Amino acid sequence: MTALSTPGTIRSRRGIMFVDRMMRAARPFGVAIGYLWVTLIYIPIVWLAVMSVSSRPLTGVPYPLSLEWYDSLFSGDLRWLPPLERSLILGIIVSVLCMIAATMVGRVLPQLRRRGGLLAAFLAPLFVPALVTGVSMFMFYRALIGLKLGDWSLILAHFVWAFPFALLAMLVVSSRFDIRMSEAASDLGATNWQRFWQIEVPLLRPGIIASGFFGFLLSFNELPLSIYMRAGQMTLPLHLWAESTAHQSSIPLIYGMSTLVTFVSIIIVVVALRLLFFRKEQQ
Amino acid sequence: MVFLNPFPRLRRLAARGGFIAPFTIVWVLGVLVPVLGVVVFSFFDSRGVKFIFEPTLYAYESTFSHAGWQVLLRSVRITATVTVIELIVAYPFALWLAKSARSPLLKLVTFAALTVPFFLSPASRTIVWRVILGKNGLINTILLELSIISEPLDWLLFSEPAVHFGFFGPYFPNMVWPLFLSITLIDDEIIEASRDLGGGRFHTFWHVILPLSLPGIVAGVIFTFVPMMGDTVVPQTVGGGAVLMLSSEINSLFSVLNYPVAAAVSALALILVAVFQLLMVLVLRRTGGIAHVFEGLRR
Amino acid sequence: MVKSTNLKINRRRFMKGAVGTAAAITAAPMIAKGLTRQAKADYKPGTIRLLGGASTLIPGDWTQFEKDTGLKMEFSLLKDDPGVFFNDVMVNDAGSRYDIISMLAGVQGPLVEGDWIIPIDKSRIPNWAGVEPGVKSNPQLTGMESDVLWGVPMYMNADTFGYFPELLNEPRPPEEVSWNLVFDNEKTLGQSAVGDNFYTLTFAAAYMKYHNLATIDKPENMTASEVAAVADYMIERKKAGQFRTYWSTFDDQISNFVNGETLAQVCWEPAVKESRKQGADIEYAWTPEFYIKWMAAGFIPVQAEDRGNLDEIYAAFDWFCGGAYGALLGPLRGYATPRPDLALEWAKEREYTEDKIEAISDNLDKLKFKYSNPLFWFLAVPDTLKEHEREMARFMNT
Repeated sequence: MTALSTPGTIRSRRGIMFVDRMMRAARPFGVAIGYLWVTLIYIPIVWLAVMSVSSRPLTGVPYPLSLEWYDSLFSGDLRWLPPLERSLILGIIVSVLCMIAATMVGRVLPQLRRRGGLLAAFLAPLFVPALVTGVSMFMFYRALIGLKLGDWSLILAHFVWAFPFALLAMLVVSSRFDIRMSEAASDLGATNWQRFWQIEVPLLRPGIIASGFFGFLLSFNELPLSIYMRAGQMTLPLHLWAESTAHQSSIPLIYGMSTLVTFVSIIIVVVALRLLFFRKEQQ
Repeated sequence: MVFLNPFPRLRRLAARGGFIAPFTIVWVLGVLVPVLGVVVFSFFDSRGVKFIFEPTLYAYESTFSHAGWQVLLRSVRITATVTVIELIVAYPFALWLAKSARSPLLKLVTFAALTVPFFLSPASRTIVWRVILGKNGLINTILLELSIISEPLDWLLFSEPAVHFGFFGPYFPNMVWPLFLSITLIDDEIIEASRDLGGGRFHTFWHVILPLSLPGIVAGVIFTFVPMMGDTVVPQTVGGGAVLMLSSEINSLFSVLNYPVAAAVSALALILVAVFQLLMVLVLRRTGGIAHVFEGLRR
Repeated sequence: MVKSTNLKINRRRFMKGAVGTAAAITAAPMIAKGLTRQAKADYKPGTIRLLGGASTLIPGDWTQFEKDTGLKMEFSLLKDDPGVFFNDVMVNDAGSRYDIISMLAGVQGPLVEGDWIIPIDKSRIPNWAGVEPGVKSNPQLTGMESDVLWGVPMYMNADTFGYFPELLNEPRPPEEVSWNLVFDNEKTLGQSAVGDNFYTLTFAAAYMKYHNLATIDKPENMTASEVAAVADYMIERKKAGQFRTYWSTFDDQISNFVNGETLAQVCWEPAVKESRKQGADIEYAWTPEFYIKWMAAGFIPVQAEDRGNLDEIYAAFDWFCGGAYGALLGPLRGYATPRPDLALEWAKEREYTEDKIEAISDNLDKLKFKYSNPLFWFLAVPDTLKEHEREMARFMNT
């Protein structure tokens, strides 16, 4: 639907009507291509799930069906358990940090007059390729300051990655938050804390919960930054990454585990979105 | 935040929104300064894991004699091409989603479908394209069955077209969302007014909708272009090592502890991306800045 | 937008918070340094903490080790990549967290130079005496010019490439086929594959040396100009359309075979086993030219000396040099351990099935034959590491 010709060249009314008709005719086509692109996102996800119950996943042929990969995932070698545990703990820490930080920043930001610069600063990681962020932070903290990396650096990396998303989720709620309500409360003699805790937090709750969910998921699935900011710890994505050079197949891990993680992630995102966007309509 | 209760001062500070100042400082010093710091590092040499702090252009000389420069250009070329294609595909779709789609269920499902991928790890599933695009893969099999081709196409996988294709799906939501948000912001009344004044469909689109959605276009282009530059998965998995992009270059430099050149390549990428975004934002100056895109979130 | 009076942050308060925080941040590195120093030296008596690649594992099972040595094994996974290893040891101080760090033998150069590891005391490993002389005096373990032993071998193999004998009309092992199937052959044009890291140049160098395509002294440790010559040759082959793809993982190798993307591919032996299971009719080549003879070795980090658990570390090494490890690992991956003779003995004593015993003794013969080829012992980290990487990048970017 880009410009077929500049408007100046269309002189006659008939010409305009022709272009208009073209645009109308092209609309279903544009929509169809859009959905085709959406399908491109989901083909690998669905195919991965199908292949995880195939006995020869690398050939791309689903038959013969088999649960052997799930079986060896759960009965055989359970070395993925500690990385999973670490990923869960990290995810929860990052999620809590995101909830607190996003609430503190998100509730104030829409009220500030010069918020553009601040917003840009907080969203900055979205404007830098993640890989570059990882490399730079590694060089700064390890090579320049000389700190030993550890859990703190993984948490930092994950937080940097997750916070912009958490903040956006919070802003969805806080920017339509009606300030008059809490001002009314002040007028009625509520203390600052009461106002914050009893009025703002309940109103912001969907945003808080959504930013927590997003923080958790982004941390849980994060790999590019973790590669540089870890110090020997293994998260689940790092474990998969390390296994990929093992002289043994990581098929059960890749197909079985990834399918499970993907579907649990989808459920969490859908729940978070419901909270964020469709709560009000329900009440 | 119950656990803040024992600290009345902190509690008061939190309630008054006072945390934003310290947090901003921590954020700037702990995150933004290190990221910009890579530009500084690129002017030093290193031994082992320690930098030697004597300014030198060694890293940049190596970047130009090394393949780093070619990799950067290739990354920009591929990323820019895909971004343009995404824009062309996403605009009509976003326009329809924002203004014409009626079924709430369809909208709901579409929104969810466009949001979920942000939170999934792309690493594992991308490998699946290999069995679809490969020499004996699904597409070649179908084309051969239908006698459209007589020999399997080997450029469907492990090639530049394949890498372009691999990017289409994962970065589509990045383009659609900003476009959708900015188009939703356009008042239906303005569009109707344009129609009432006898402006045709095309006239309305060209003179009303397109200019008003410019912030969305800019945001969409940035959100698609930037992360794609640093993608670690698609070039490796779909390109099969035949199409080197930024990530493989930096990883390979890191694996031989060549920090200065890694820093130089990162710094060049950072500068490139920054200049590109600056240009984009300048384009926007007249229409009120990029922050306007987020106003759409309020609805 | 309504402007709230209460939520407004005035300049003064902002600055006050800012100054306080800036001070805290400046202090933070010092505090963090103190913390990391404190957390350093905790070690657990009776436990061996081993950092190694996944190939070291007998899947999930260290019961035999724990029964034989009375030690507990705590295994941590490391990506099988010398670059990652260096980062872990030199950047992230792995030595303070592990008792044995394991990687391809030959990586020790920079570690020795930087005093990260200590020499091995052979007399404290009883099983060491019977190790094949060729392995014992291997320059990979001793460093190129010294007779100090830096690492204890754990498992080894002689790598080549996998190929489809039927499709290529080539014989099956033990008959030999030429490496030209990978580097320079009409039959595999556009259908051969190599790895995506600089080791590919090392293999190509061995091929060129054998066929006198260039003067190369040591393929495993080339000079900058030799690497450049090899890269030129590889670029020429690439332009001729020789290579289909460049793998980076084990599953890449398998999927290239199983999906028929390649007819000949440099790969690891277990990938051939796995691809056969998935239905690809391939063989692991025996070649006249060269074998990539490599071994994985264990090193003792310098920090272990202060911890005082060297006895336990040597006991662990002795187990890896013993029969049990060989008998468990051999049939699984086709890799040999330092004492294959003990492995065979151990398997026979425990009445292993015929085919497993055969697999172990097959391995013995195979290794004896392959290891007799003079070309070449693989060195994980050549002296001109950065040049190798640069030339590889040039090749990959053409």
